[in-house]
Amino acid sequence: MLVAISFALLALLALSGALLLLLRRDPVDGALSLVVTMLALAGIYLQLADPVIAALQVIVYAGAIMVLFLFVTMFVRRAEERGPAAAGRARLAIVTLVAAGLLGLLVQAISLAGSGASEAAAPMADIVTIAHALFAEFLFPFELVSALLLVAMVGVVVLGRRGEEAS
Amino acid sequence: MPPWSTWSGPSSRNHDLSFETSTAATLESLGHVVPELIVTVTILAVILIDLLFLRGRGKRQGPLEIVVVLGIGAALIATWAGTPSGPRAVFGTMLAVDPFSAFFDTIFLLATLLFVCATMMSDEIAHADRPEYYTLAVGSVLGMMLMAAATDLVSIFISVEFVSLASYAMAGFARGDRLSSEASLKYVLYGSVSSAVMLFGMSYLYGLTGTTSLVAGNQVLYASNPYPLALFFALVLVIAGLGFKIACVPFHFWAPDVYEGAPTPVTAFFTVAPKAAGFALLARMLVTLLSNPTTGGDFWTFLGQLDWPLLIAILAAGSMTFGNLGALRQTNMKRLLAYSSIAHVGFVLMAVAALSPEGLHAINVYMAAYLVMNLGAFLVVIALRRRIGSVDIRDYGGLASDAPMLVVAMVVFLYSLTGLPPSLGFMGKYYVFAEVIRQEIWWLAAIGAVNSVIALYYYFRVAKAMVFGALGERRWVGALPEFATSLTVALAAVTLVLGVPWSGFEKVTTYSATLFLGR
Repeated sequence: MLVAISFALLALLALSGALLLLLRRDPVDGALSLVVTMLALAGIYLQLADPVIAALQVIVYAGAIMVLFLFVTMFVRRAEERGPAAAGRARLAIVTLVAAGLLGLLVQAISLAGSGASEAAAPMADIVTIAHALFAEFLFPFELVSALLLVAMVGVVVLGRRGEEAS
Repeated sequence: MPPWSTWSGPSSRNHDLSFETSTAATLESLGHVVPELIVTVTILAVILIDLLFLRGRGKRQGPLEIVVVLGIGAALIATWAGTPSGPRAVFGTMLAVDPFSAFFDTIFLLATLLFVCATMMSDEIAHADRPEYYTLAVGSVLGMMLMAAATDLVSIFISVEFVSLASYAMAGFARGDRLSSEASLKYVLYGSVSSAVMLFGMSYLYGLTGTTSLVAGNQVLYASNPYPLALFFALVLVIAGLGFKIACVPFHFWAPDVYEGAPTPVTAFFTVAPKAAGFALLARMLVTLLSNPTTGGDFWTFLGQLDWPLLIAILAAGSMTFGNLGALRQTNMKRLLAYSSIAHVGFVLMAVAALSPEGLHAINVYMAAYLVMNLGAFLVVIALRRRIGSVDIRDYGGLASDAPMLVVAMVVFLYSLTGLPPSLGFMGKYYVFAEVIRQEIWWLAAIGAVNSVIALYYYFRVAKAMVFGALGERRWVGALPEFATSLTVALAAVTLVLGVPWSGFEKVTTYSATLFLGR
């Protein structure tokens, strides 16, 4: 019972964060409501007895990525620009349709999965398992990402320098 | 019970795997990716040479180009000298080393060599920017080589992003050019969205199969596919993401603007190399993950009730038709070739839709042909831009008397792009149509035939402007680059000579249609 109540609270928190993100016009407000969602998700992971994933969620998403978001939005924001303009009616209709379809699909998938899926859930990700996955099975992509970051860094330097010359 | 709980194949997580065994396996795998390693070293070499020897001195053409050409040449030799011990998986299930990936590696590396030539001919890239420019280009080549070999959702996504990130920066390389910056920005925005869409689809694939490996996923889906609708949805998302990268209709809207705004050598490179990588990945992914593992020989069949070849065939028809119709009205040569590249994507997708080893063979021939003729056409455009300072067809009048050999070469490339015999372009179309007809997809063959006729019109409009156009008030802005004529004429000769059916060419491309399927 306690589990159900705390899950309901966390889920409500996550959903309201996501809704606020969509409804607030100011990008900074949006980013901050995203933090709420991220933290609520971390709570749900913790409730699933998966402290490693919960910690990673806080460090990576609520921490690093959100700081990046906020940094960029505050960096590029001008006082008079308050987020994107409202979408046209036609576009809104299409987006709603796509979202509704997606929701239907998810509901169908979850209802089909029934109760069996939760029991056979993936093994708990303790830190040793993650280390094995990262440095044995996924060693190659892990190393590849470092090459990717090098090339991306060169690209960013190039584009950044372009901006300097223009101003 | 979900399907993955009962299945324990080669990629199921083995938590007892000791680090000693995995280290040995990794070292062994490294021996099979020598070309990729050489390309990686080349990236570092370009950065280091710039930092150590070129900083602060007058930038000249030379040292960087030599390093890139040597590195790419070495990788090219390693690709074909390393005797492949048959198709096999390396780094666990991350990559497959097979003749198919070796063939595409060859295409990327040759495209890079021609790209270096194109850059040296062009004046659109400032010399001071070239170290970063080549770093990004060689980096994207590494990404493409991995795209052509990737057999795991993780390695697929990282290699695709590798190419995308390098491409975003390359599109914005023209100094102080608003169109170029706009191209770069559009590319980043649309590209990130499409990557996110693809990743979302991949997360569904993982959820449905419980594995990131394509081979293992195929076995799981073959054993049971309880959620065909979700699988279809995942497939649509992944195809949408990849479709954006290869610019097929309806995910092509970014291509004309980006191709027009990017510096011309970059456009030339974009229309060939990343597209070839996208096709290699698309074909490998669809065949490995979603074909029925019990069929073999001349035909494959699709898995379960998931008729993805029909989906691809519809995209193919759309790309051919809208690409060609879009090209009809263009007067900017870069835009025209951008639309024509969308149409060519449609032709290659016809071969993907055929779903057979012979279809892969047709992809190989078509991409090899497209490499030569399209880069050839772009080299002429770049050379003429130096002479007349324009890429507009209406300015091409009277060039026949000024640069006759260049115009002859261009006519050969356009002839080949149309697909008339004898030319490489004809060979490509021949194999594609032969396979589609053999599979009895008549409606697709008919649409392809009509489109070939439409293409004839706009390609020959360019040829007509060059040969018969009036000289008008001509203002020459410079001389042709030194080796432009000899290089383009050589490529034109290749286009014609390889257009004659020849057993050696046939043998190489057939051999290169061998995929690692893990069956």
